[in-house]
Amino acid sequence: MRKLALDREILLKIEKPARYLGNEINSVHKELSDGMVRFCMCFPDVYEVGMSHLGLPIIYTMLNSRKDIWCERVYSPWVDLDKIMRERNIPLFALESQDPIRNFDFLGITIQYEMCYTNILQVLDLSGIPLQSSGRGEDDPIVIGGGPCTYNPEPIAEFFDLFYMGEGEISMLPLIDLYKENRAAGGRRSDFLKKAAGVPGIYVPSLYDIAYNDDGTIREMIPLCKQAPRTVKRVIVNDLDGTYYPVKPMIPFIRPVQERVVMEIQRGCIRGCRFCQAGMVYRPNRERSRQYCTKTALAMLDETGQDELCLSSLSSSDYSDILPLINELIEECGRRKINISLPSLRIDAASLDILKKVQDIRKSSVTFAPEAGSQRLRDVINKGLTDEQIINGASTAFKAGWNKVKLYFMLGQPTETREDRLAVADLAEKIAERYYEDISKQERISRGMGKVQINASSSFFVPKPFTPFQWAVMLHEDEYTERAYEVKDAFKKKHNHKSLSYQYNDADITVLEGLFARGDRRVAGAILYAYRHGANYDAWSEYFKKDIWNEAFDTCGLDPDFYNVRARSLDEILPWDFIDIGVSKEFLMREWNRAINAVTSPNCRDHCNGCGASVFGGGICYEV
Amino acid sequence: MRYRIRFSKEGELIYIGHLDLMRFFQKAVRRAKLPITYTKGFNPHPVMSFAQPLGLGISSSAEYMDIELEEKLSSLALIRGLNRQMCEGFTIISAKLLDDNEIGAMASLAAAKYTVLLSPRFMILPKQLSAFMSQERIVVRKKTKRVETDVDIKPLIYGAGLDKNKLLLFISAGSSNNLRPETVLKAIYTFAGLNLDVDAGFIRGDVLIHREEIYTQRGGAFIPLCEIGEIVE
Repeated sequence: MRKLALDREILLKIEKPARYLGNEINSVHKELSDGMVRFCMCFPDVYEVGMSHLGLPIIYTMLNSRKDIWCERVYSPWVDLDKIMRERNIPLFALESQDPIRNFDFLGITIQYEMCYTNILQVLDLSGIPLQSSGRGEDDPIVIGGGPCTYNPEPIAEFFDLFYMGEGEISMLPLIDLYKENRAAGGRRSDFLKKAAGVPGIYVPSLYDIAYNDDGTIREMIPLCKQAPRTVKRVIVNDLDGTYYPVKPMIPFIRPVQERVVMEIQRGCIRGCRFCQAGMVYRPNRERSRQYCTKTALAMLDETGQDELCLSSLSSSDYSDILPLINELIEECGRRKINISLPSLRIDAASLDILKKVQDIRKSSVTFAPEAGSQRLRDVINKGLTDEQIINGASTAFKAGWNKVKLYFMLGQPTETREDRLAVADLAEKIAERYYEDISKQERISRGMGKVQINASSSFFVPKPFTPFQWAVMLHEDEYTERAYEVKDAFKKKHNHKSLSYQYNDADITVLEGLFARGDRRVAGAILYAYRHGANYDAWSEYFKKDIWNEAFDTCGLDPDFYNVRARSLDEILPWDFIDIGVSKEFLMREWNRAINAVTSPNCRDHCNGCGASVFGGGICYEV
Repeated sequence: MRYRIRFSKEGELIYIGHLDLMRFFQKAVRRAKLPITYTKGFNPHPVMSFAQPLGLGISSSAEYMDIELEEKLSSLALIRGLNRQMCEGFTIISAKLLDDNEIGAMASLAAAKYTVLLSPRFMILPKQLSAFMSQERIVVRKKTKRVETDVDIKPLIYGAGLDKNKLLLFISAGSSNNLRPETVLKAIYTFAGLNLDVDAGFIRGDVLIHREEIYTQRGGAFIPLCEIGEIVE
């Protein structure tokens, strides 16, 4: 029996000790052998959050398919264990072997959102790995970061040895082979990093310097050796049917945030909403075949015994075979008494028909994401959803028996006016009115439907790299809050206000998100400072310490306004310009100009906008 | 068809709580493709119930789960089928067919036997135990959310014995009059004038608790739950 890293005393003192056992069914346990490469994949948040993520299991499955590689996992220790580990000098360990991570060859960190940056430092710190790449020696693991935040890695560049731009299935194994070769040839760490710069998709931050202009903008990104390319190209999988997939997902003992089997039916999105980074950095849209999806989904259910299946993609209604796929799965899942979850489905008669079969109408909502209250602003952001479509969709749902609607919005988008904001409440009100028109009081009583509940919520817009809005200007924290109050007020004044609700996020985190999303290398100092002074779990509102961050900005001489509020010119060199994601900067500029003029762009299926993603040679760009 | 499954919970699995144990078994029966009965409605789940939650840190050779199957299976098929889906720490020990009239495991629970392993620091002497047991009343303070009351637990202690560093307890269990082994242990130390923190000792491993068996009561006699039901060939 293996020895646990934490003794009984610690395990019985902390919350949810099973977070730290690594004995889940379908977790991979191997015997150590000579020359085996030890890889630890990290999701820098607590276990329950990390175990809901699909990307890590894909890499886990892929790496473990090789006999000479053992991939294990680690998640951020919760605050209670963090404290104990520091008090007792217990090094952070990988779950499966319970061995200290500092003895591993690689630590791979998947970076899904900006607010986990201090958790990255927490993981490095608790592992005993020097926080800065420059401080690491021959025996320290190679620290590599992947995931959507690598599309502007600069704020955290100094903490990583490597970044991986793109989809993990392509270059991870070649990178590990390179590592083994280098080791066998007696090469040093610095040799490996230089060689790694030649692997497609790999960025080695230490091989570049940044020169700044007097006004603080970037003058140049300077490669320091011949191995460092001027541009790093993103890598993608063209044949999604022919690559790795976690057919035997792990079964956590603790209930994760999402407890279900996830089938990724496609990658990318054809819509081109201008605020959306995922829609750009996952281009072109690539589908998995219906047969693959059905076969894999059912296999995963067999291997886990989970009672829920989720079909996952950015815009499921755009999957070519969506209705046949869903109907096939509904039949099989109905037989097995398994629930199906279908997020991102367009609300129309056909999908409502389906939703009725898989959801308890009395308890579920139909969801729309207009993102903007007015048609004009929706055209600016290129969200092709009209008031009519929303209200008619809701109406169809009401007649079918639903009485709950969820609406998602964003505040602070480019060109937004007061009229646009008031339109948010107007739209919610129109939907409520339609309910009462469609369903008479008598019918409401006879069908037990009661009042309608329209639940609207908004987040604050943060401009992201590689979107047409990457040049957009943010607001100050109090301005965001004022705008939210304006909308809240409008809701209160509506005739049907009792059927409406409106919630908004905290604005203070928005400033930080903006800073990390479009920041440069100079932001790292503030992240380090904040972490050293107690910032951690910033994504959790109960742990977010605004004061520490403000102190960090002051002490480090960092002005968030420079990154967030300052208007950037179109020819400014952006920290992420050195990355080639396929989609060109020219396309983004075109879309930015169209946005300012409230001109929409068609989706990829209707008409190609020449974004540049066709350079990958596959997906929707080549669909007949 | 209702079956009563007996299983053990030990090793690293003492760190899994009861709700998580239930979730584990809900998935295990699906993986085993057992012809289980499901609840109706939009969120069907397997019809199963457990005898009594086991506290975190306690091991057991007598955990019981009642499940309902649509078809009759042999006990061996059921045991093997489920064992294939177990991980280290869970072992399926038996599977017996219950009579239609048999009450559920949880409702039938009346008593439980525990073995408490004590470290040298936490040792009890035989004469301390017999003196403790010969009291007319054994009063402990019971705290609920709202009130604190004094309760005489002596009638709930059906037997207590000592085998070197092993304390054996046969005590009341179930929805009414549930007695925890820790409570008895605390009472013993208090009586013997020993200033020992049982909860701290439990966390450190000075006190290790193992549930040996659970019992129902029939006509004045305690019957171990493993004797209820029939083996199906």
